[in-house]
Amino acid sequence: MRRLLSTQWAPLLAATILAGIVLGFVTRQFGTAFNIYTILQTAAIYAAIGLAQMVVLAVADMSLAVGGIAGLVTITVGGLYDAQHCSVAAAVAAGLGLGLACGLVNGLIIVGMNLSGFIVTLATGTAFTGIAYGITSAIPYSTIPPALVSLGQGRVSFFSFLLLPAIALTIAVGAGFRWLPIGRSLLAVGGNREAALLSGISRARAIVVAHAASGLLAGITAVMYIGVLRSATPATGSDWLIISFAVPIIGGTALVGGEAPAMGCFVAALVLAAINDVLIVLNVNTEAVQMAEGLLIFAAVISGKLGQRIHGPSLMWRKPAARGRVRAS
Amino acid sequence: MSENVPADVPEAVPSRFAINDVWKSFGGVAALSGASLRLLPGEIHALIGENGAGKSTLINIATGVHRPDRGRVLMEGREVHFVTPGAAAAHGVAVVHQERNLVRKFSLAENLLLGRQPLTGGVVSYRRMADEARPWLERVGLDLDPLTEASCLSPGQAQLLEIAKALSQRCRVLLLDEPTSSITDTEFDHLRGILTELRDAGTSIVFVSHKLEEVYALCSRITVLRDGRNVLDGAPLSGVSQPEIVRAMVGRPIELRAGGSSRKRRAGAPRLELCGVSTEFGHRGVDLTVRSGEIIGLYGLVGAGRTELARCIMGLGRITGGELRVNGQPARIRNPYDALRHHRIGYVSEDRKDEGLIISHSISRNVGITVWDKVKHRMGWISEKRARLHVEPPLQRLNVKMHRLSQPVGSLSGGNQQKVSAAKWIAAEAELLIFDEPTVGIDVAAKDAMHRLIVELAEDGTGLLLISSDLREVVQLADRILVMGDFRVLADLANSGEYAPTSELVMRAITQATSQIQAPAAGASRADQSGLAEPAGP
Amino acid sequence: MPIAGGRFGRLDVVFGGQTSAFGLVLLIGLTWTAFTLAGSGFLSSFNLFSIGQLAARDAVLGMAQAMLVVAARMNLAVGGIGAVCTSLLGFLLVSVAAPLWLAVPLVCAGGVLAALLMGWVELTTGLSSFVVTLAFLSVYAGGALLVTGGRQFQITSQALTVLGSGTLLSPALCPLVAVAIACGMVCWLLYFRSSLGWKMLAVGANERAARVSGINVPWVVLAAYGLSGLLCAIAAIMNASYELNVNAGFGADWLLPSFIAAVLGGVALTGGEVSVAGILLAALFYDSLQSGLTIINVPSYWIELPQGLVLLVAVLLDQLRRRRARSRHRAPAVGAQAAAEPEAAVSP
Repeated sequence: MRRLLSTQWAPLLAATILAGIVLGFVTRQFGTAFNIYTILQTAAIYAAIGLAQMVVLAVADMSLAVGGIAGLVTITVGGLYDAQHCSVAAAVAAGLGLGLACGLVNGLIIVGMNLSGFIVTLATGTAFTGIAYGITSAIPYSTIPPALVSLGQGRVSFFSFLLLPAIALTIAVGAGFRWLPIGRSLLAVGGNREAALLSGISRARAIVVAHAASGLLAGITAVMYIGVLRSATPATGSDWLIISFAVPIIGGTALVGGEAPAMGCFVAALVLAAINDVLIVLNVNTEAVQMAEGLLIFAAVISGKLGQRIHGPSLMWRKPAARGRVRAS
Repeated sequence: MSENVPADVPEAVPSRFAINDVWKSFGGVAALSGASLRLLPGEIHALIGENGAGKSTLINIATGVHRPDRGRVLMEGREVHFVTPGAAAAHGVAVVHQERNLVRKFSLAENLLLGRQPLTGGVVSYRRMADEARPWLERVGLDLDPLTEASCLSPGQAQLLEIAKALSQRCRVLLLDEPTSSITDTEFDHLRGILTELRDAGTSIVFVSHKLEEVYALCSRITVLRDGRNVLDGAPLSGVSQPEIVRAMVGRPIELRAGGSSRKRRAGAPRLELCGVSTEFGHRGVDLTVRSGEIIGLYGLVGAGRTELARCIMGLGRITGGELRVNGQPARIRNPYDALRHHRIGYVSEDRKDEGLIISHSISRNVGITVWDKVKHRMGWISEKRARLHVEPPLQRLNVKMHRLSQPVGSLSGGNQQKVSAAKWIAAEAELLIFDEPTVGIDVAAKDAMHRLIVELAEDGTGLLLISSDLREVVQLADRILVMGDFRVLADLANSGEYAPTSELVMRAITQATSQIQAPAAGASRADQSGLAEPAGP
Repeated sequence: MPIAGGRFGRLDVVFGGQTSAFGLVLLIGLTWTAFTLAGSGFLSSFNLFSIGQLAARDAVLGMAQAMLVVAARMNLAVGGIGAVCTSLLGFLLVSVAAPLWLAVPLVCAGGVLAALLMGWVELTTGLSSFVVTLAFLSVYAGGALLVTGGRQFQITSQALTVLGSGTLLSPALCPLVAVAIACGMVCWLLYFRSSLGWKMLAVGANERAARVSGINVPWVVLAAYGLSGLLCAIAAIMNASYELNVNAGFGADWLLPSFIAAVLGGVALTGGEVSVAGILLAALFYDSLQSGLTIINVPSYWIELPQGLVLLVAVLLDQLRRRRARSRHRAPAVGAQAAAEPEAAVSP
């Protein structure tokens, strides 16, 4: 329990719950079961988006293609079900396979050409979105598998069914990084590339795996989102860029790599969804949400930076490692 | 090649691990010319040498990072060829580097077993990991929970963890590259205990250090490298005195070209004065004066804090106490921009590739960078033609071999790169110039050119601070020699220009670093009598 | 071995970096020929006019991006600043009814200030430009929408309309092209004829070396941010001059063209290398391709795919060229560098 409280996201969660309780008393709308359901529904999607980015940040890379892959997977699932009359399971499986493949392509290009993930995924992400628009002629598929609709819209009181896959993903990703050898390798590469290399861990492999996992997670997110929207539109993912970074960064993921706090991601998603909702409930314009995300990113990274600064002196280039003490006598 | 062949090492005892007469050169510059290192089973062997002596290359050959051009590497008498660091590790050769190779967010146990974590049913088992790691941690005396995060470790403990890691890989030969550079006394005592234990268990240990007291406390034999050759080859430490080691490291008088004494000395007004300066790096009470037309040699072993002092003068590190005066006026230098713009101080960095030059840019841009503000028009316009007026003279003066000014500086040889790195400060007409290891890693001709340049600059009235690990160079060039050790000025010596007595004084200052410096020895009678002063106050 | 100088050298290195200008001219020629033959009306004045209109804006966006990429940073907030500037322009011209001569400088000042704020944050916090500009992208884009409440501004300024939709010399040439070329010339003067530009290149290529050589790095970085903001503001004004009915949503899709123009134009992502002509030509190529695809009746929803592919191919070719150049000119020098390396590693 003490370990739980000492994590980076604990204060954030506490503050959010506290603010939520206060708001519940102040405004009538906020505390209703339906409103909380809406928050949790959004949070589930945010958490999944954030996880897709986090696995790449863990190896000190980044992916701007999370949204693009999601768009492509969305229309694949929708198209196979609506136009090709495949079964739900087959459509979803094909969609997830495609997501994985897209991520794999990103990783292979990055490693093969020794490029930064930033520019490669900026390009491929656009290309994926482009393919999604092209195939569908920009027209959404509106016949959606009922199973996905009940996943996206279903609830018991305030509990959105979408939380189930979101929690499962959080646990799976968290456990993967904690228990699987490949998860440890990813973190080792992100944490200290030299040390990983000397221990025989391949950086190329780690990057490819991270991007492939990111693609798969983006695909799963897309499947979750289809039910929320009740349509499979290629526009899915077009506005995910900022949220995909905001969630893991606010959740305590370092951009320098080596960390993958899946639970932090989940909490950050809750917080962002709650803020989103509060601003709407308080009749503040929805655009303020976007601003709030930006400001929260700052708050998160700067507080993280300050934490680091306490540990080490800020020397220009060189640590004073060479300084030795005179041996007494 | 070895001037001092150990007599009392019985030939019958075969070496555990031996590097025999290896040669290695990089692009025509020799790093090793017939160096050897022979380790007996169960000994701690000191490997000593100055900057550029070839230690790192030797270690890299031992661990499979480099392959020798000539010579043999033997393990238990049989020749081995290490193609990769992995191959060396497989033969039981492990190295603990100066930089910490730890994943800070991982536990001690996991760092120890990185890349080979124990699995139970395909899943990392932390309990088994802790169990497997615990004996190794205990062996090096790390009495911590194996599941503690590595970021909690002190530098000394991190060092122990890396040793434990090397041991867990069943190494028979353990190379420690300056393991004590950042650890405390108690940690050293502890490390000594561990290493002694390992030695008694039969491990051969190579101990690289610049601290001679530690070498004496730990090691039984010593190998000293200088200029890529053995000066001492496995000599028993009991038969070698501390001054002898220092002398072996810094070398003895070879023919000296026109020394500092032949120069017209016209020391003028003080350009730079440090009075009781302390810095964030840990310098304390540093006094130093550089007059115009004077060359001050700043000598010391690696880790003495010379480069750090230069960086603080340039504003790349903080001065926390004392006073810095430029041309007699108290000055506060916040960054190199201040140093150049307001005080005309320049710094030829020792790190040519990352700090001295912009490798991908042209020669013209690299030299001109310091004068752009001077040659630009009022609106900030500038042209290569205008810059060239300031760029060409220093390049010609240094005789830089190039095709044209627009050639990228990365395509030049090391010596010419160093000349370009110096040329920009000549173009800037710096009145005080700090040279940090100006001749490391460059060929003889370029070395000569740099020496000539330094003398000429002094004759022109520039104040020069010469940081060098090459004592011959310092004695040859400097008017006065400041000996630094452990972030203090140990001695301020007038340089007679004669190598033998001066080097004697320098060595005495270093070896007696901790105690009061005593009267000059008889051999040093020709040295300036005021040469051996306490670091005096202002 | 000509590396920097070989402008019209071998075909295999023609498609990126230093040789990009020549390669791009070739590429544009091919594109134009192909689309002229394949569809009808590619060379019509109307089509050329609209290509010019779009290419001009994208070129300025590319320069805005390049300004920071040259200094080894990046500006993800080009669209955010664009939204702020568009809103400010709309507010000044429509709500306040300010004259154009007053509104334009104010908008430019707004863009500069918005970017300087990002630069200041980067310098004081020491965060990477990626995070800083990413966060500011959402702050600016969200803030602009919030403040304007998503309002549409109907711009009626005569002078602005002439700039965006009038003609220059021939009916095929949009006056905005002149604006872009003027910006390009100023940028060229900056990078190749001014000490500030030289310093920006130096900082981008090796910030440590630049600092130790006495360059005032924080000021140079701030200047790069400020100029990037200025170019974003100009792009926003250019955009408004032909869109006329503007809102704070403008700028949402600027990130990609800004990177395409810069990277395809031969600006090194690692900093310290720029080609202004390359940026102008890259923008022209990019918008010719877009327009040509429409001419040959590729449906509009297929337009986004080539955008991504163009960027991908540009990046891959650029990387190939760099590898080749490196392996060629490293050959004689690598040994000399390595000689200094192993021992330098020992130093404290």
